[in-house]
Amino acid sequence: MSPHLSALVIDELAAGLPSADAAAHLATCTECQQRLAAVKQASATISAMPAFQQRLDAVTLGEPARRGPWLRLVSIALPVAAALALVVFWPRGDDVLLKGAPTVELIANEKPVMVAKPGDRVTLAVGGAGATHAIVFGVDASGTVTKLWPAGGEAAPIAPGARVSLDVSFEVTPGDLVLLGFFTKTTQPTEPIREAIERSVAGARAPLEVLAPSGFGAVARSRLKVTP
Amino acid sequence: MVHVAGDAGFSRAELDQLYRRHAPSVFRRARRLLGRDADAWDAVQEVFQKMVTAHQSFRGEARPMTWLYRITTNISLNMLRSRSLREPAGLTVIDGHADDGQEALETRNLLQAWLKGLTEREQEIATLLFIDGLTQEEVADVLELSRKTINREVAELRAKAAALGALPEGDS
Ligand SMILES: [Zn+2]
Repeated sequence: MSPHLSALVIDELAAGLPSADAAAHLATCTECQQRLAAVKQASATISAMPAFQQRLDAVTLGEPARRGPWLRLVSIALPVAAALALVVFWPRGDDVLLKGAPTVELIANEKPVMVAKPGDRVTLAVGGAGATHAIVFGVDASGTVTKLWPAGGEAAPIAPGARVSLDVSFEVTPGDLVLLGFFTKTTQPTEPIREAIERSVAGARAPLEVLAPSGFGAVARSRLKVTP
Repeated sequence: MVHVAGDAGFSRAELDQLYRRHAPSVFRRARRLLGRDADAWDAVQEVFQKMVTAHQSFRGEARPMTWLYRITTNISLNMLRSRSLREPAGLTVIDGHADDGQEALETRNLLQAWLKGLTEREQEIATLLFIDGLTQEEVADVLELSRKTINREVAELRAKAAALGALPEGDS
């Protein structure tokens, strides 16, 4: 009988990859069959752990180009220290929600931040005004559009409340920025919104004067001034 | 959606698929080396982040599992090296090891000895050969070494590990 399958081949088989040489051995060897079954079982257990999806969501695509030079994601729920101007738009014709207008803010020391300096730490917070799902983008002076929240490709649920922390912290880097929040009562994909913002940036007098595109739910807009 | 041919990076859907297929085995291997769930998840995230940034190297690989073994080994050993700087010997944090048995203890002792006494290349070979249980030919594929080179390096490694008292039992 040929030698037992190596761990690498067992991993390939468990991942569903073709491993032609292995088939003949596997068909006749109960020990390797059991090893493969054990690896598949372990994989199912690992896939069901909460961290499995969280770590997938934390992997970012296409950086650093898409992550602006003006705001750097640091980590989850760090202590914060900094302040931001807040303008909320409530465009007519959009999916009108109850309870006034939604908000998007950067927060430090439990207060909205209007002006910050490089190195300051801020967290992201929203008020959904009755909406249940949100997406937040940032636009910098160069017109770079960056999704700030959520990590995945779909609008994520938010808790009710006027100022709900999104558990994401940023370190402020030089350059002003605009935040655009989109609020709905169902989920929606993030990429069409990015593309609409990019068109909106192209049509704006200056990138920082970009308006939130309509058609993606209620919107909130705020601007952070970053001093040297 | 715009589709870019050629040098395009991963789409979210592609990354999802690769992650679901491969993350469990990356986690199992990293967990064995690092001993703690949280550290192993850090390694998983780092491996897949690397897959995104180095998508050309991953896609160019004839056998994707060898790329995953190479990067997982590299990242896990780097984490162990920086951990041993943060946590001097004798002060090793032991939480998260509750279900570990004799084998895990032996793995940790071996790794500790290798990190002190072997070169980084030798540490990689020893990990793949003795802890992951790969064949010598597979180690050569994973590390992109020739058969001749791996034969020589493994012979040197065995002698060195034996001198350190860190050659796994039952290995000949
Ligand atoms: Zn067998």
